Amino acid sequence: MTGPLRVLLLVGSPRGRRSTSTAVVSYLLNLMKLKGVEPLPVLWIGPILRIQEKISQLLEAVDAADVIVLAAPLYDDCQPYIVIKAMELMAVHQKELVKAQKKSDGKLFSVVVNCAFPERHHTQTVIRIYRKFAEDVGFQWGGSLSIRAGEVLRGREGKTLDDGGSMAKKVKEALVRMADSLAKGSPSADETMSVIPEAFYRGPFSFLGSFFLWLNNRGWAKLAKKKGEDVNARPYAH
Amino acid sequence: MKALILNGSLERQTHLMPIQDILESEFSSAGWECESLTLHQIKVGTCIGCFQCWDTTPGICFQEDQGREIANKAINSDLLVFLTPLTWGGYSSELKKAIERMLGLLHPSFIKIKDSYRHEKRYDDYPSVLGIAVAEGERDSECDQIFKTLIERHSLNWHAPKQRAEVFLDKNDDEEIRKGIKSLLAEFGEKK
Repeated sequence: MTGPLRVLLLVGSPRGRRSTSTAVVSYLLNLMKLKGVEPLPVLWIGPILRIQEKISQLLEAVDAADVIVLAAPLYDDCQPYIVIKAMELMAVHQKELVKAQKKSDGKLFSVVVNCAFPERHHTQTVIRIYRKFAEDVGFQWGGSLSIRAGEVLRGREGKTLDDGGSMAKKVKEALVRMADSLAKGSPSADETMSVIPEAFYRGPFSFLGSFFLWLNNRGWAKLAKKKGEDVNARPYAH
Repeated sequence: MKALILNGSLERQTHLMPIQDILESEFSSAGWECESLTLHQIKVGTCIGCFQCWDTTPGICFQEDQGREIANKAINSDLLVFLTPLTWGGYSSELKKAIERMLGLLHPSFIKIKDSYRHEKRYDDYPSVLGIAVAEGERDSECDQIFKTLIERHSLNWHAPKQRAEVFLDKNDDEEIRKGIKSLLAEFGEKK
C-alpha cells in the first residue's frame, strides 16, 4: 500500500442520518481526519440499496478502502436487514474478485454495534456473525465496539456524541482507542460498554435501573395517549 | 395447530425448496395446518426504525403492505418456522426483512426477566420458533453454533414458549432431512 490509509465509514442504521450510528460515525470521522488518514465519503447503506448505481459505488468504495468501519444497531439480536443485504452484496462481489484473481486480502473490517439493552450478552452473537463474514470474504477482523443502552444517547433525535455529555464519555474514549489502532492499520480490541452505569441494573443501585425502566415505560404510554392511541392495543388478536 | 413457514431464500436460490416441501408434508401428516411464504416473492417494505408501530398505531406498522399481513399470520400461528440459507451463522436478508416488520407484535415497554431486559408481551401467547438453516458445502460447526444461539436468544426476546434450531447441508439427502425434521417437529407436537 502506498499513500495514506483509506478509511470507509458505513452507517447501517435504518433510521439513516438521525441515528446513534450516524453520531458514532461522525465522531470517528473527525478522529480519523486528525490522524491523517484519507477518509472516503461516508455511506448510508439504506438509501444506497434502493439504487443499483449506488450499490456499485458502495462496492467500489469497499474495493478502494484499506479499513472499513460499519456502525449499525442491533435489531432482533442480529444485524438490521439493510446491513445483511449489503453484506450479501459485498460477499458476492468479493467472490467475483477472487474468480478474476483481483482480490486484495486483508483490509480491516471493524464494527460498532449499538444495542438498546444494557446487558453484554445481547451483542455477542452479532459480533460472531460479523467476524465470520470478515473471514469468509477475506477481510481481516478489525475489532469491535458494542455500545449497550445506546438509546440513552438519543441519536434518533439527531443528537451528536458531543451532545451526550457525561453519558457519551466512555463511548468517545473507546472510539479514540479504536481510531488510534485503525489509523495505524492495526486491528482494535473487541470492547463492550454500557452507556448507563452497570450498577444501575445490577448491584446495590439497581433500584435506579428500575426507576429508569418505569420512566421509559411510562413515556411510551404517554406518547401513544397523546396521539389518541392505546399503547396496549392488540390489533391482531383473534 | 397452525404453522407458518417463512422461507428466506434469496432470488434464484432453490436449495431451500426441498426442505420446505418436506416440512409441509410432515406438518400435513401430523395434522397441522401449514402455510408457506416465499418471502422474496412478496413485496415487503423495510423497517425504518421509526417506532410508529409503538407510539402512533400501536401494534401495526405504518407501511400498508404485505408486511402487516405477515405479522398478523405470525402472531396467530402456533409455530413459526424461520427457514433460511445459513448466512455467516445468521438469517438471510429476505428473512430478516420480514422479521423486522413484526416489531409491533412486541410492546415498547421493557421488562426484566431473570436479570435480563426484554420487551414486554403485547399479546398473551406467542408462537414457538423453529429455526432451520441450510448451509452450502461443508459443515462449519461455528456457524451452526451461532445460528442455534441466535434462535435461542431471539426466541427469548420473542417470548416463544418453545424453540429449536437445526442446520442441514444442501448435500444432505431427502431421507436424512426428513428424519431430522420429524424429530424436530415431535417436540412441537403438543399444544403450547
